[in-house]
Amino acid sequence: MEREEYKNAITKRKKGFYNIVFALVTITIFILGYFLYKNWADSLTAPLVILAIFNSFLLLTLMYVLLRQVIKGYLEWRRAKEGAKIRTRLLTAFIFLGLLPSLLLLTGAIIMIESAVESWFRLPVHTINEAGQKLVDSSLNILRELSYERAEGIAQQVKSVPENLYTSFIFHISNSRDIDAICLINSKGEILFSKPEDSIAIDRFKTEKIFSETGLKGYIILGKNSYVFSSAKINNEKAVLVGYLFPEDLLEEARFISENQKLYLQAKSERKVFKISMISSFLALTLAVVFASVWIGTRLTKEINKPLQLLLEGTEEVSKGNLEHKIDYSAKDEIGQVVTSFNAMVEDLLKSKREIEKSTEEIKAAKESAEKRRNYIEVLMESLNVGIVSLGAEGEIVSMNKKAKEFLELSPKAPPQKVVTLPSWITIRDAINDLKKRPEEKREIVLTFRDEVKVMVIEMVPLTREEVSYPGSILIIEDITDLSRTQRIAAWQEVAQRLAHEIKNPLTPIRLSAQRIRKKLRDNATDLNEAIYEGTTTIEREVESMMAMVDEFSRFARLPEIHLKPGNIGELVLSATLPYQNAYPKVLFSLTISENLPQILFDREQIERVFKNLFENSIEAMKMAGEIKVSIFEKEKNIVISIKDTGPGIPKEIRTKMFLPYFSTKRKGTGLGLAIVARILEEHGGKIEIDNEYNEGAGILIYLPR
Amino acid sequence: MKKLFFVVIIFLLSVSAFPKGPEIEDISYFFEKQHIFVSFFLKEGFLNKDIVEAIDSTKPITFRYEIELAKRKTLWIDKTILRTTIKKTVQYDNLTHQYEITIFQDEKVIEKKSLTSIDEVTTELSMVKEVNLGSTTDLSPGENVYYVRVQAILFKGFFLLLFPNDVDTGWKEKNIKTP
Repeated sequence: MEREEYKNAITKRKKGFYNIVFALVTITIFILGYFLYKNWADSLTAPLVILAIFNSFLLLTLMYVLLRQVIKGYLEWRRAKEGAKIRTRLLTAFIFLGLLPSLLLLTGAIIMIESAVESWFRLPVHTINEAGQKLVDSSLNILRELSYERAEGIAQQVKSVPENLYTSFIFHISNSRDIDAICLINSKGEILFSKPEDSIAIDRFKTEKIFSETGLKGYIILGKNSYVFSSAKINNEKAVLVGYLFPEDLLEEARFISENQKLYLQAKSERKVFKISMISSFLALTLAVVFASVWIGTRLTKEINKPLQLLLEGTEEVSKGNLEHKIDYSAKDEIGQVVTSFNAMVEDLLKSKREIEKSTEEIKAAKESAEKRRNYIEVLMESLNVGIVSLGAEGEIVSMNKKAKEFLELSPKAPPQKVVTLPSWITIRDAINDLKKRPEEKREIVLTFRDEVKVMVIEMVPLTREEVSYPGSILIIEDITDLSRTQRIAAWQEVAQRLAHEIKNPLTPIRLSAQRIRKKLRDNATDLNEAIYEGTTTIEREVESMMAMVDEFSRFARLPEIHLKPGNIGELVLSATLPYQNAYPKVLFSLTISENLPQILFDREQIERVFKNLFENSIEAMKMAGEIKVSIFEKEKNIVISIKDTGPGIPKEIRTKMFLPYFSTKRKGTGLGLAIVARILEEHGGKIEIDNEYNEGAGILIYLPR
Repeated sequence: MKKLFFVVIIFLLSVSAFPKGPEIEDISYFFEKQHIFVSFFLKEGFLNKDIVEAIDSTKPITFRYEIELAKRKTLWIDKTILRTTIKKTVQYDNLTHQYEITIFQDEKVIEKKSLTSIDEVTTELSMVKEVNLGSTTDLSPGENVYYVRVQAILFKGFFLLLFPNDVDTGWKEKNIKTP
């Protein structure tokens, strides 16, 4: 705003300066013009001088206005000021509209004046005047010739008399009636005799002329009495002049004709001045018209351009973001309406801007709040002792916390998506696929890394809360390696205790048998042989029991290599059930085998052993009476064999360790049966799981790869 | 800038191609009785036919000659020491066919003549003989710093039909050596 005021002040000052200069120049022109008029002009040129002053003033004013507009236009054009181009175009158009017809009119006027004035002097009046003049001249010529001849004659006569009698002789001749005037002069120009007196005035020039070769011939003296004089030299010192009176009536006519001729000649001579004055007047008019058109053009351009310039400035301001800019212009015409619409539009824009700013502030606040919450959640996630992996709708990795990276042995700086390149991810992915089907469950997985084996529990939580649901889910990973190790140690402790107990059990009868035999031997008892027999029998039996137990352990430790051959798993299962169906009539086997099961690769002997073990466990658990449901079906890339009994089921507390070796709930069990089963299946690339969905007894799921 | 240069050159060439106007020629002088007398001749004074026509129209026509004796100054404007104006006015009488010539020096009539032909008039008006410019007593003797300059103002004209101007010859100079 201050800048605008400063600019306005500068413009005003410049304008004031230019106006003063213009006023001074104008005053100077008028002063110079006045002096020119006073000292230079005559009656003929005075109007021309006045016109010249006026034209100079107009021309100067016009040049000043034009030059000012041209410079202004050029500067504005160069500065690319708003509206400069249209202003220049409009002004140029106005100037040309005023200038062109005016110049055409002026040119036409000049041609017409030139032609008209010249044509005036081509009229017969010139010829008539000349004819009259010639008549006068002819009359005069007669007198000239007469005076010349008479002067010559008298001079010849005078020469015949002595020089001292020249005056007397001339006096004598002067009385002659055919001479109107006679003079005798000497070479100094002195009049020696004159009749009548003062009929002719003699000056140096006339004297020279009289005494020259040509002499004075037909010299006319106009006065009270008008004479035509001619001279004739008597000798080099004296000359005689003879004059004849110009007849009064002829003189009057001659004067009249001469005066008219004079007027005509003067007019002809002044025709140029007349033409100049006419052209000058037209020029003054043209300049006045051009000046008026330029001035009106300037005003109109300003009037048209002002709102346009204001609109352009306004647009510029608005484009710069100044929506508080208002165009201060009011008019009832279309431009005024445009300005009003513009102001209304800018006001609307300002309102919208403020609303947007308000919304932006709110969004910013919400964003900050969300950011805080996000940071809080991030810190929370990072602080958690469990790994969190967020999965997208398609199961793709979106993010994971530090702990998850740590669990999966991924570099903290590595992108979470890199986890899919890890070998351990295959296990996790399979677990995820399982959990998708049973999202409420957890899965325990064993991940083998370069240096260690980790046991993890993973849980998949869908991103759903109340009615709000997001695509994707959260994978919670918990490292239970330490816990598993503790459980394994506890299991091993139990195995050791059981093993000790199992070994200790047969050792007691063996020790008792040995002690009895030694006592019978020391006492030379009669029933020594019987005691030896019974004792050794007992020892043998217990040793065999111990050997069987050792064999069982050995078998677990050294399972035979599997030999995979393609076969029908359904047939195998069916054949495995047959001995039990015959041996346990109270046990009902129901077998469901899906149609078109593909043949898979397996070791028949080992897999048969798996089923036998499982069937025996179920039968024992059902106490030889109940139902065993076996169903075989295809699922994804596996053949699944589901075995469900109607027994008491598997307690939850042992579910995680029941496939560990040497774990058994049976009093005489070695705890290796299910461990061997799990190992056989692992070697086939399959696995065994407890069917947690089944609650009416024990449920086992066996997975064998297709 | 180049265009402007060429325009100026063409303008100057075209101007120089025009016939020269009237000019003062044959300025001569002599000293006598501590006075300086100047003579000169106006060449092409009647080149403009309008002048002859104007004379024949019986209007009085005046040729004005300004004669000055000046002293040259270095790095300053020359100093005018003597000045005189000769006016020769001719008026034709179409009745008598005589040209009345009046000669003025510094607005004083010094001579009148009556001539009968235009040739005599042109000679008379173009010739200025032995005009007494003034006393030379104040001039430093034997110096070459003085000069005589003459210009003829012939008639009134209008430049571009607009600006009143005198048609003149411009100053013509001749160095003099004081006795």
